[in-house]
Amino acid sequence: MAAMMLFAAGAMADESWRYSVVGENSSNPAEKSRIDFENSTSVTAGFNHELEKEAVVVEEGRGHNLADITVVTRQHLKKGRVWGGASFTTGSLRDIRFNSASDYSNVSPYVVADSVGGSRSVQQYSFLGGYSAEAGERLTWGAEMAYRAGIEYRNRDPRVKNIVSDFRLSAGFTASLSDKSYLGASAGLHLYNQDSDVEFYNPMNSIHEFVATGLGTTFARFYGSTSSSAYKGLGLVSNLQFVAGNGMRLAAGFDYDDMDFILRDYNDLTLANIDNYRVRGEIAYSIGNVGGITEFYDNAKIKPHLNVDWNRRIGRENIFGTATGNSYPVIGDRQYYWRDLFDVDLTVEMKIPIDSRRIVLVAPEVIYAFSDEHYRQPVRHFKADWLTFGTKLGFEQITLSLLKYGINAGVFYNAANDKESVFEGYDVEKMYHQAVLHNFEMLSSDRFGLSADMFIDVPISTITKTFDDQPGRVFRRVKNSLIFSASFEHYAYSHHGDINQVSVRAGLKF
Amino acid sequence: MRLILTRLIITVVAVLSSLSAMGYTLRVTVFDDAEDEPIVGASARLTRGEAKLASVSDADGVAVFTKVSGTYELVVEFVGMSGYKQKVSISKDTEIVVKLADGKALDEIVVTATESKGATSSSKIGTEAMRHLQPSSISDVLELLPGGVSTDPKMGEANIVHLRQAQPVSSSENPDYSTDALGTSFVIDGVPVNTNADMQRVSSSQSGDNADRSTVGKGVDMRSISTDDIESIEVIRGIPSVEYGEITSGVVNIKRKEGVRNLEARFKADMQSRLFYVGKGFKMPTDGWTVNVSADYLDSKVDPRNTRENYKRLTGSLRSLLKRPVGAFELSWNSSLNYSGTFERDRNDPDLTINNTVDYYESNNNTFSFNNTLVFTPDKSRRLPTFTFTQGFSYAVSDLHREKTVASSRIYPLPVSMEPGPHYVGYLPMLYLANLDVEGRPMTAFARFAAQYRANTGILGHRLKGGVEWNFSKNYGNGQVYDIARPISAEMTSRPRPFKDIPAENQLSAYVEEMMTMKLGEHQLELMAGLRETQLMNLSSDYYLSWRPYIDPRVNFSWRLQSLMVASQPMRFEFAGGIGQHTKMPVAAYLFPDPIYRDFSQLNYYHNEERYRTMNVMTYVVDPTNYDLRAARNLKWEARIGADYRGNSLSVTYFRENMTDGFRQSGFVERYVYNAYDASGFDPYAVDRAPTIEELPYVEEVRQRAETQTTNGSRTLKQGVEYTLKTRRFPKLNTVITINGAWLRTVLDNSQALWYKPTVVVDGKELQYVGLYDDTDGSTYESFNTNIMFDTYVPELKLNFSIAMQNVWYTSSQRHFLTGVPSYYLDPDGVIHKFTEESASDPQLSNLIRHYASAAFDENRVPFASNINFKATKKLFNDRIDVALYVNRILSITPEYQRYGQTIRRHLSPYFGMEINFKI
Amino acid sequence: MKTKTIIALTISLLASQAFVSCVENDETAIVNCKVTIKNTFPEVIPADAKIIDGKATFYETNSGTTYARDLNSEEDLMLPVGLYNVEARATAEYVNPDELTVEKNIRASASAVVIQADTEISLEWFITMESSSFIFSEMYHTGSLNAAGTGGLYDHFFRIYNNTDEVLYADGLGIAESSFTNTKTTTYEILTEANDRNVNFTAQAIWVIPGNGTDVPVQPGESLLIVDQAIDWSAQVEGALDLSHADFEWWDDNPRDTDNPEVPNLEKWYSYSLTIWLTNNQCTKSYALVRFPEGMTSTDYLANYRGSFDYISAIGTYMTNDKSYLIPNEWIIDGVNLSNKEQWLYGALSPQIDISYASISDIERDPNRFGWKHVRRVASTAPDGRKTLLDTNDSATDFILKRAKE
Repeated sequence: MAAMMLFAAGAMADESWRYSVVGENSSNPAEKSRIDFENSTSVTAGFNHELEKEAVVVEEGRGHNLADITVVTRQHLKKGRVWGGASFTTGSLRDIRFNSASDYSNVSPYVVADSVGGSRSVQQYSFLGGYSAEAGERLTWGAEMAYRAGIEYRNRDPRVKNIVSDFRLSAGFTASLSDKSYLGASAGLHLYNQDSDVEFYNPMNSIHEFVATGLGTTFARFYGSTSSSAYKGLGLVSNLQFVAGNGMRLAAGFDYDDMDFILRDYNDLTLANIDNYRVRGEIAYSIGNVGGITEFYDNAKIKPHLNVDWNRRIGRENIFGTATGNSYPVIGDRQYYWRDLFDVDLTVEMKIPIDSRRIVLVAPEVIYAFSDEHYRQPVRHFKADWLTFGTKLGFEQITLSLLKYGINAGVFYNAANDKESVFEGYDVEKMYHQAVLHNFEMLSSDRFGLSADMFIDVPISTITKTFDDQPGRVFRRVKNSLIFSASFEHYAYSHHGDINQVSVRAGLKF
Repeated sequence: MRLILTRLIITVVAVLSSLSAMGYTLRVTVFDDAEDEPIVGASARLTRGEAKLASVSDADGVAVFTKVSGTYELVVEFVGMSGYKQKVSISKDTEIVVKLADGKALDEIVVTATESKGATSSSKIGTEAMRHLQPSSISDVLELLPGGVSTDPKMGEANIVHLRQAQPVSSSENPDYSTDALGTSFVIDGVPVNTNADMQRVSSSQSGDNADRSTVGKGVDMRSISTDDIESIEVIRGIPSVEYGEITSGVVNIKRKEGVRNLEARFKADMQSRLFYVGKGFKMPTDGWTVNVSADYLDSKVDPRNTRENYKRLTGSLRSLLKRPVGAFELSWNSSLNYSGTFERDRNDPDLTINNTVDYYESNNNTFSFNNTLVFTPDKSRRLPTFTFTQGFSYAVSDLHREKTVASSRIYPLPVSMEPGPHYVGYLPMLYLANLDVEGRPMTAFARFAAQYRANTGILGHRLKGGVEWNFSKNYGNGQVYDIARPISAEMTSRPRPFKDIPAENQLSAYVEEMMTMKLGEHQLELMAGLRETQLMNLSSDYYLSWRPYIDPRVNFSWRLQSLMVASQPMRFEFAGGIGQHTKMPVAAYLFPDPIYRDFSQLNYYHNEERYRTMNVMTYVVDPTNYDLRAARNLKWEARIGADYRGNSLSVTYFRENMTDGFRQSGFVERYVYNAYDASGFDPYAVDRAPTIEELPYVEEVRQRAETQTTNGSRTLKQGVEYTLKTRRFPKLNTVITINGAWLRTVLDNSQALWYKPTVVVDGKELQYVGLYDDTDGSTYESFNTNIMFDTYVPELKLNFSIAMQNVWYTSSQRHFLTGVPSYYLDPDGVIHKFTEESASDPQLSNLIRHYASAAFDENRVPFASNINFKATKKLFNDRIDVALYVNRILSITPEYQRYGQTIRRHLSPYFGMEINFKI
Repeated sequence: MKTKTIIALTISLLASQAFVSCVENDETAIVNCKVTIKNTFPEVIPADAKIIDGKATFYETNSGTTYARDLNSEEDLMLPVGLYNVEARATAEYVNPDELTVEKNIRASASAVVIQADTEISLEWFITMESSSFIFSEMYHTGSLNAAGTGGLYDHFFRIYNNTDEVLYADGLGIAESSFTNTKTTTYEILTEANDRNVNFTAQAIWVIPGNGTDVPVQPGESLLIVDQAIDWSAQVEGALDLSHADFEWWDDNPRDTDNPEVPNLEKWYSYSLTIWLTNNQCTKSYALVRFPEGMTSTDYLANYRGSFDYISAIGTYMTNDKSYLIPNEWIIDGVNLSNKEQWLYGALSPQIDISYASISDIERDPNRFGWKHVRRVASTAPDGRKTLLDTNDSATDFILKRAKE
């Protein structure tokens, strides 16, 4: 969900599809033993289309067309619970320029790039498995593993081929303090690997690659003769949770990632290194209970929650001495690049049940966010912040025949205020420099957003159960059902075109 | 091991006996349910209270208890098989038949190769292991052998088999050492795959992009064999029975599915390819007759970016199995009609065909085969042999078509003529469209008549086998067809040669083998000794190999000791070993090589006036046939220790193989004489025509060159230790740990002296001296690896996942020390001299000394690297649907290392795929 | 991945590695180090000569930034950490043996100098002398576009020019191609001293103009055209050159080469390839004009100047190249390094023969390079029209690009 928020804050393009199954991983697997859920497995097929008239971030392209098959399951075992999922996604990403790597948000600013770029085909396999169980009355523990492997390629010059492998492992425990309150902690490991290669088949090719080091700067020494690069990342994730009896939930998380940028053509030398720090905080109050009518939100009647997300990235470039054979000794390094992203998001969800089958939802929201990016020599500095007001209205109903459906609509207005930009050595002919300015203009321009989504859960077969302690009452429960959902988002940038995103999903739940 | 339910049949036959009233005799006959053969050496025990009687089944599988009466508990066990326990009450002479199935518990799944218990070391791989491995072709299955490491499928080049070879060698395809792959026989349902007539290659001088796709002289291309129709594969790495011929290293014995089976379908997608398979086994109306039909299609791209390089495979098979009593025999007639097509097509890629140039490559290969196997088995009571008649016939239509726009960068004279002698030749145009077709029609036929007789004399059991085999292969294609004046590349000067000019290869072989089993108490000895005789027929008499018989003696023995009681559990040891000679005849392309064309320019007169231009070339056609070429022979021996204890099994094998006459392209010296005409005195304007050679003064020139022919010049020495440890499935964790690996050492060098002429121009002329170097130009390779596989089965979730840690402790290659100084040399007049001290200082002769950097002979040792592979299969809808996924190198540990002061860094990226299997 | 200890919650921006006595500018976090220059003069200039108006440019290869410094300024010479190529010009003022104060303009260059701490750079100055002999005036190695426009033809040529004011004889003059390429793509490390470019030029092909002393006269201001195939290419491919009237052609005695009877052939002393010698059309090699010592024949040259060298290849393996010969720098009367801007590392010729390189294009394998040739600038034109070409042994300034047709 965090990636969505940063997208809402407009800091980067919507890359959430990459984490469709893996992204579901919970902050603390041990908490899964504390929420009650019914066994359910769903097999769905989805289609996701996004088109940006002007790219929000040039290096991330102007949208995508993706289809996927996803299986997600949650089962109770004799002892403990197990949950998991697998998904296969294929499709195309549109018009990516100045970046021949994948996962730009993870690996920026260090990429091998060229001015032509273009659209790419993508295939991604991802799967996830988790297990949680009680240990005694007061303790629960849990562990979860998620793996994402993807390949992106073009079959026209410049022919990019990237293989991404993203492995996450996390484990945690929770300890009850009283009957309704508990304390939780979890830690996790994140191994990231990417191999990126570019080839040219045209004998009379005139495009060539350079090493981008952020905000329009390049690494002069390896200008031109680099085509294959790699990323190796090791990350640590830690989360703390405190749930009080009165419906208050406090959570904090700290991640640290260390990512090396490697040039294959020069005997795998590490050209640059990224240190990525991230602090997240959340305070939420759940007041009252609407008793299970809603499928889309949780059951709290009124739920104010505050989210804080702060991300600092520091880039360090190495300086190399004379090469002996093909190995380059490092004689020093310089910390040229750093970027801060910050946003705080306050939402108040209010749910008003009309009767035992229908409920209305109102959720006003306000976001403050800023982005501050620096490069030391030549001096490049881009800072912008903005305030977003919006609200979301929703309606859900469960019919007598146990058919459930829900509709939500939302509207946002995003006002960017003071912004600051310094571009030493700007050269108007250089398309790469124009792209950097374009990214900043999109970041710091006002925008108006509309969103709508709906879901339908059509039961196919139901089970009837009677409990002897409640004679005469017949409980009917849905056994298998057809599920269908769709969502639409529209963002209009002032004098920078608009962004439309449509996604549709249908499948079977049993 | 196949997954088969236990079938429990007790047929109690009461035999009245008038023996003494003291007790009766109980005969327990023990049968292997899957192979339908008696089990020798199974232990049977009758217990009542603390009374214990023990007996072991003899060659006929019968264990006898005498003087027994009353009720006992009968326990029959044979290690590796499921046990049998039953209450019996004896009131008269009784006979019980007990069938034991594979030693797997009901829901046991074996996902690794199991070392077979027979006399020779071989690995058996069943459908469950293949299902878990999710292979695209046979080459993926070799990962399960000891010493095997998982590699990504390489669909862009021919996949050549390398058994028991150190790793660094198998990765470098050196044509001089491919006899080892050529000598690995692939047998499908009893019929060996014959590749002697395959010649589908573009002429070598235009190797460029498709040299590595050709398999001439390299044996079977494993990409073309799909795995979905296979019931079991047995890879014999040790000394195969003499029943298998035309081999130097080993046998891959493939048995395809037969009998009734529900509709199976498979869809697989990985980073390079998509694969579809569907197959079904029907029961026909007349009883005893089942038909199996299957088809599979594979479409793979080597690199998704390259729309040109792709490999498509389509196979289909119709197999019928008819069982019918015939007189005193039971006939089982297995007949199959198979089709296998491979297609490679390079569509025009817009970036490659700029300015509307054309670059198009298409290769189609359609192979049809019709095989029959008739087995006449006598019914149990009669003492008659079993007769087997096997017939195989295959015909392939292979077409390669290439179109290319050629824009040459120089003015090229084109010295191409088919006949020897002086010729006037033209010049290549600057721009033309070249066409090239290669038509191959290889046909092979195979027939074998074999008999097998089983008899017992006292404690000795005998099984006599004998057979006669006939092998035929011929290519009827037109070979390369192209206009030699418009070659596919400007530099190409080779000439086409129709394949049908190459004579057929006829081979006759016979074999006889005795398998003797002896039982001393619980000890059980097995000795297999056989002779195989083979020769090539229909060669002209000046070939050494014409009607030249080769005898291959092969002996294997195994000794299973009686079980020792360790912590009240039986532990059984087994010693086995074998020694044998193996022979592989050269393929047709070696016996009848293409002629070599050499052109020398006699007059090069490219005048500014077009009509005065002329060029005269002396063409030589050299026949490089080596009439003295012999078969390649490999002497192999191995020793093995096996141990079984409470379901865990360990086997350690030491082997050593030495082949001194592998096929190799070695040099022979050819002298060429031609005239160099001097046109300086000729005035074309005076006579208004170009000069002719008759009227010009000339100087006679002599050139010596080292041409190549196929000889027996390669030596391959292979030795190593293979080990496999398999634990039983630990109850709580439900996990089997399999540890297998090998230390392998391979030495490749030349066993005959080599002629070599340095390619250097000194003083304006090509150096004319040829050196004879007899120091062994070869290398020693070593590799040591251990694979640890944890395969866990979670019955509750019907989920089976495996984590394999493949550690390569080190691989090393080291070139043997070479002085580089020739021992003899040939001077321009063709006279051989000894290479002495002062010849080393002669300016011309010093060029014969080949210089090697001092460090060229250092050992190049690559240290430890380890990959972790993850595989998972999940059964859904009560075993009707099977979803599986695999990720090779989900994590890899490749530490960097130093070499000559440079840090060498290594990197590996993951390879992954998913598949769905249906059983409806 | 560096095995770095994972720091807990400390977020700090600064503290890059500390260096011996280099001072760090806290605003830009760039570490500057003190650099001192040690001058060594050629013998003709005494050690106590005074450098006046010395200018030096320091090009930092990693970041691509150039720092200009005045060698005569008082305060210390400070430069950021990095790997530098240095070029310096100055005039040396000294008292010559007969008591006259003389000024000579001198130049120096140093390549791949690592500045990681306080460093002392030694500059070997040499006098830029005017050349007085044959020089390369035109070099055409890209070739015109082939018939399909997908590559270059081999209508390559050298033009050797008499830059003096009297008749010179080209008999016995040699053209040699370097074994080493001048670009980054072949970054291997040469292990044998004889192949050090400041001592010998390592050649892989040597062709010599025939004649026994006075057969090939070249008048002042005239030149010799030496081609690969003396053919009227324009008759075969539209847009190519007509080389049928060349002075010499290099012909390999090979059935795939053509020999024009009306054009005399060069003597092939040595060639690394058995087939045909082609000059590399990516223009990344160096070429030298060699005047062999009196009476030196090919046999005694080939017997005594073998140049095989050991090196560590790009993938870290020990290799030997035994197909090259050595040419002492004293025999070379003119030399030109060729490369493209992007891939340039350093020249196969000694800096004294050519301190820089003639660039054919900005990028490697630039498709628009076909049809362009290197032409030497005109330094001055004499009244009778005879041109003196610029020869300062600095190809970057001496050569410009022109269409091959002009």
